[in-house]
Amino acid sequence: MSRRVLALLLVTALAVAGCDEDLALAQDFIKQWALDHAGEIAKNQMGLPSGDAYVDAAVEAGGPILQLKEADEAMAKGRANQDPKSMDAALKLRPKDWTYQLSRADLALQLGDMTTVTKYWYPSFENAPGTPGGIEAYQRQQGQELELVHKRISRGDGSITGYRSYAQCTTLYDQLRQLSLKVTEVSKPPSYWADRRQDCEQIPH
Amino acid sequence: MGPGSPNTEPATPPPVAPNTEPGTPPPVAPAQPVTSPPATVPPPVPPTIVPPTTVPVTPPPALPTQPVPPPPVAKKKGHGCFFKGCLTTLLVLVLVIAAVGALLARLPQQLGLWPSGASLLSGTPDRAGAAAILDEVKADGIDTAGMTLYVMPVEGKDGTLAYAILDTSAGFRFPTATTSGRNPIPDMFVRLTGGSAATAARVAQVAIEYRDPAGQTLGVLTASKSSINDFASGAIDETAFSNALSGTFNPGAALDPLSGGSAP
Repeated sequence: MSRRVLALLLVTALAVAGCDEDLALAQDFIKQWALDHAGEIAKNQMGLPSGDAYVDAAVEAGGPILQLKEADEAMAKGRANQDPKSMDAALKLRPKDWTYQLSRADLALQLGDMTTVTKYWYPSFENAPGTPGGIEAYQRQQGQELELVHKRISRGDGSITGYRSYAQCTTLYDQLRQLSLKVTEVSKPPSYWADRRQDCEQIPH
Repeated sequence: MGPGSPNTEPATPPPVAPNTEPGTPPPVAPAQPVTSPPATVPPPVPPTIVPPTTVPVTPPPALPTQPVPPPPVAKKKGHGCFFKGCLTTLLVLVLVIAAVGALLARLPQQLGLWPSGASLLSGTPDRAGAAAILDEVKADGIDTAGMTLYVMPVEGKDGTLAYAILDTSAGFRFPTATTSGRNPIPDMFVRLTGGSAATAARVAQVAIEYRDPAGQTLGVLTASKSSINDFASGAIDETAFSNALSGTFNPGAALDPLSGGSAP
């Protein structure tokens, strides 16, 4: 028994020593590099451009990364609490983030604020990457969020009580019908969304 | 007495020119009238007081005057070269401090003269791409606790920047050095770009921000994907790879004994 305990202690001690050794190796590498490149470091600390946008972006990324973290937290709060103010705070920090713009537009659709829908929907599409991966990411996020909007405001199939306007109802189901053809994030088939679109006709317009 | 001032002095008789021999230069008129007694004394004239007039009196035309030698000025005691040198040095020092302060405050970037980090990284991060890279790193046997990765587009460039924060204060541990035989830092560069996820996310540059056990950033090192590939393939050694790196360093963290650091 005592041998097992001793062996366990030895393995633990070796593991800790190994970690410390790696940590020291990493720190020594950075310190040695700093000693060898003091002039370049001083230049970078003062923000003098290197001539390479990638290097400049990497060296100057600290501030934007902090801001991104703060904005992500505000947007996560806004999405979870359906809070437009938190979303607006995130957008203020990163106004060109299409994922934020799209979420803000989708929340505005849920709230029946069609002016804000227009304000953010089109820029979100313009800022999203035009690559196949980018378009797919856009459609996946929109599919997820709009289905959530449907769940939050629909009072059941055939009912129109949850909708604030004809425009809100038709925009939601037109989009969901199209997205259901493209991404799997929308759980129901196009015919289902077409029926919901037909329900919107009961709303005076 | 000015030209327009009232004459309050009694009229004085004209001076009598003294007898002078011909050929001798005329004597210079004395500054003060000579008060030799006249031959005939005119009856005393009561002083006439000229009332002040409001008519503006034009000043007499300036008479040609001989250049007057400047009055001897008492030599001022100068401040000396030492004083002037000090002043110049102080001025230069102030200018240098102001310039460095402006650079550190990122004034040229704020004025839009140079690209700023905020403008270069204003695009939407590729969150799915970052998650995919982290999944690959994890599948490679690395514990990603304390590791945060951002993949961000760089304004005006086709590729992206993969920015990894290795925070040992949040539980990050390097994989043991023996697994790859490389130093943990260059090894991490290779691991971050080695998989297909990095290619899919169009990673062109990798940056590693290392935070020490106290949570302070010791440094940010960055390398292009091509130099990482060269190092990974053995085309360049660790020293050459180190020379290909760029970045920043925080000497404060290096000297802080609480962070487990020591002076380099």
